[in-house]
Amino acid sequence: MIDTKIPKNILNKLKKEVDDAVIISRTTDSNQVKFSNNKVSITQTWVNNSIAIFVAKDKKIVTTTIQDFRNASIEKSISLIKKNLSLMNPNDEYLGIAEGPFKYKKVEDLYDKEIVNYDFSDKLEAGINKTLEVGAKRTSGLLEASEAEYLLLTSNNVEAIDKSSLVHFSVRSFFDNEASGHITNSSRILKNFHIEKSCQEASEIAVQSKNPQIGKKGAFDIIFSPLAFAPLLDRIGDATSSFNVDARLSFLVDKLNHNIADENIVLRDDATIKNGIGSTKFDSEGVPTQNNIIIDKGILKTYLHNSSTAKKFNVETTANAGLIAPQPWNLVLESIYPLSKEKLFKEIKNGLYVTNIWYTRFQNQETGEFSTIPRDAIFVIKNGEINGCVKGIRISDSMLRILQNIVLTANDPKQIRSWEAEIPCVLPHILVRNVNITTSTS
Amino acid sequence: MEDLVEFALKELEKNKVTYAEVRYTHSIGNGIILKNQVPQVGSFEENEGIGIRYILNNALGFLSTNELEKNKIKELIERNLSKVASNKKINDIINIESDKTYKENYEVKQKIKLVDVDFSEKTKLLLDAEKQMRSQGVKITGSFIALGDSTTTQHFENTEGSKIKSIIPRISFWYQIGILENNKVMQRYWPWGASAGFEIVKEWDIPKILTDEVKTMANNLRNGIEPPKDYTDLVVAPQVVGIMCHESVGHPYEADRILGREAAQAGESFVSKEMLNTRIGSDVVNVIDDPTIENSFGYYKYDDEGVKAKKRILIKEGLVNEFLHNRETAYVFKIKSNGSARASDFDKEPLIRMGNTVLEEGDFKEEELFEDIKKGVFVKNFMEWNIDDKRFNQKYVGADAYLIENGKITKPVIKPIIEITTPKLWGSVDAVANNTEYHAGNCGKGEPMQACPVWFGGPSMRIRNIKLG
Repeated sequence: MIDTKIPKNILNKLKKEVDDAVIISRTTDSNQVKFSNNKVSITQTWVNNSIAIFVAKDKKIVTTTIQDFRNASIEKSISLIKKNLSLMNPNDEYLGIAEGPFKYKKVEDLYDKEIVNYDFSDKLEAGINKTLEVGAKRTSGLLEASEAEYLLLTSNNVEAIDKSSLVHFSVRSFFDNEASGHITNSSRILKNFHIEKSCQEASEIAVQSKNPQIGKKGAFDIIFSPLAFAPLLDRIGDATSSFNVDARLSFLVDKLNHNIADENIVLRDDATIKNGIGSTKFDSEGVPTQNNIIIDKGILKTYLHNSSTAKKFNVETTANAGLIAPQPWNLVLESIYPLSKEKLFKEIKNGLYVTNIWYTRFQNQETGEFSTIPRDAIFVIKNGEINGCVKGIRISDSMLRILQNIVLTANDPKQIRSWEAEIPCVLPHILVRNVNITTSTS
Repeated sequence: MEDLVEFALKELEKNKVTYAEVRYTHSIGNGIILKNQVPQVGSFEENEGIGIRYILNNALGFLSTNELEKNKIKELIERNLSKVASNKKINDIINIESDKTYKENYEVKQKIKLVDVDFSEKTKLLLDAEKQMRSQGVKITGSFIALGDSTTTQHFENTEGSKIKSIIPRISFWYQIGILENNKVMQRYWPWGASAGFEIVKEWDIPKILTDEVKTMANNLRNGIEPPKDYTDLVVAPQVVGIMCHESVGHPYEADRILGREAAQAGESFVSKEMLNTRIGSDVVNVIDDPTIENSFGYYKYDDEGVKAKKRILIKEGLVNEFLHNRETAYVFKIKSNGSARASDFDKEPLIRMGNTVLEEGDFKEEELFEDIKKGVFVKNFMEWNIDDKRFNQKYVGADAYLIENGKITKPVIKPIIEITTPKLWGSVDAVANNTEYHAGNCGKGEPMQACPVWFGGPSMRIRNIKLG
């Protein structure tokens, strides 16, 4: 059980000195196996404890993290908090944290006590063997198992505890240097977590993507796999944070109640999803989390807020604190009339199937112009069927155009957390029309 | 904390490891963020912890904790040893190249210590800079600026007898600013960084940096024309040269990528061992990586495997000359490590990283590069950029760019796009100037992600006959 005595002691001391205080105590325990060329390259273990502190006084805000829990060190940190508050300028936009107490509903399947010390070695060996059996020549990736405990205390009568676990598998398999496939699988519980199946899928993609030809520039209809679209959804999620909207680091500025996507499209941020990687009972102020509909039938309905940004925007908090910047928990992209994956492919006469992307960069976050690079297998689709593959292409487009051109999705949602998508996402295969492809001068 | 470091090493030796290294790190950091002239938050941190890496039965293990008690460390070592043992059927055979033993303390000197500059002084500096920037008659749509620093003390020991203590202060400043001009918006992000005391911030002149940035963007939007559509000559300035060196030379020359160790994360490389001594650029191209540049953002004297850092010549007269190595890849390549192993913090394994990656100077003055260009484009800095995970196809979208006509710089050019392969890029360089600049960045690699401070740069260079997007 996480210690409550030290965090409570810190809160009691700070309450006398400040207007608002939030204490977040966290313990984490993780194991990770990283493998490459069919062998384990390193086995890693981490144990860390920290107490993060947020305080506001006369609208001046200071944050710190304590990792040394001896009395003298805590006293030093509290004294520095007081000193630094006196040296800060006020943040006139700050309008306080939520008033508790609150009641919380349990979110199902967020903790499995077996995960952190589970011995995955046999399963990983079987996965590597499966990769080779299917036909890929080498495989690389990572298997991570962790658990965390989390205590939240605020000066506004919040005391909440949560416990979570996570098992994450990422596998990239190669037929040769030009043909590869990447699959991820993440879960908060061991049930439905399959290493061998992921290895098989990655290997099948690798084998199928042999002999890619240099791709052509132009406008193409593209089906994105869940892994491929997740980094774009991650950037869409960032753009929904009211903090980024305020700084005009968002292509959703001035788009509230505007039609920004096809009427078939719904985007939610839902922290209450069973087994959701980002699911949590409460946000960083202690407000009970909820299911927020961000885009409803193509219309932008809300930005994501904490209590302070909500007051500034004259709305209710969406329970997405982030004390400085609101953040999404689990982004869920879906359509009202989803198709089977097979039917989705039949919608394409002449297009591409992108299975992964990387290095997404904005030219301008306010206009949403960006580019990103398809990586791993890029299949050509002719009349609904896969017909060869390409390499060496780049998607150079605008996020607003991409959003408007998502017209259909499949009915195969998958939970994604990846190297390129920090925000957990749940999304199916997605069809985007007329995506602009560019290529290099060679 | 030296006793804890020695305790951990002894515990590992008791378990018959063939190699082990222990890093104890203590770091003090401060940061200020302003959004639209409003100070959002002042943050300060004091972190410490221990990172331990070892080889036992040719398998590699790493463990880390901030619970700095002997019994906790012992427990964690035992747990990690057991995890490594459970993977015995699939563990790779890891060997490392031996290296000299060093005993040294070193420190980057600060005229004005970072810990002595308080939040009020930093906030005033940023607010004054914002005020000056906003008095230029340019419509600012949004601004986000930050100033951060860290002072990191590290104590390193390994089973070969090396004991290295370092104190490295680092300071960084970055901004993201949007403007509206001529009914068009434009944004620029750029970071600054160095290993130094606060005196370096005064040299940077933040008010001038921000003021110049918005005036340049406004001029581009107000007077800019479309870039030429035909094949044309380019001159790229140090900021663009630097990112090109970092992305298409530094990264693909990381030997762990070449061997596939980072394949599922940061990717692999189009470069192979067999390409050593083969041509990748014209004979005027010389690219180095040098972590020993004093006060550089990527500065270190010894890497996180206890190997002495040195200048590495990646491309010599257009030929692939040398890769970046740690001790593990050095063993595979049958050479000595060139000191490229870095960990971003105590809780991260050392990976092969760049220090400061730079195109070496030529004999030309920058203005001489323009002289025989009838029609071309001069790209001074950039906005969006990216490169594929083999480091072959890259894109840079120019921000501050100008038309070159008959050897002279004339009108601003809007968004020239350089989208090019690595061999075509470096093979098309025909002249290199002598106006070296260094620029800062935080380079990402690994899982968990490790952002390592680096510089990249060089002088301006001329690239012949390129088609712009």
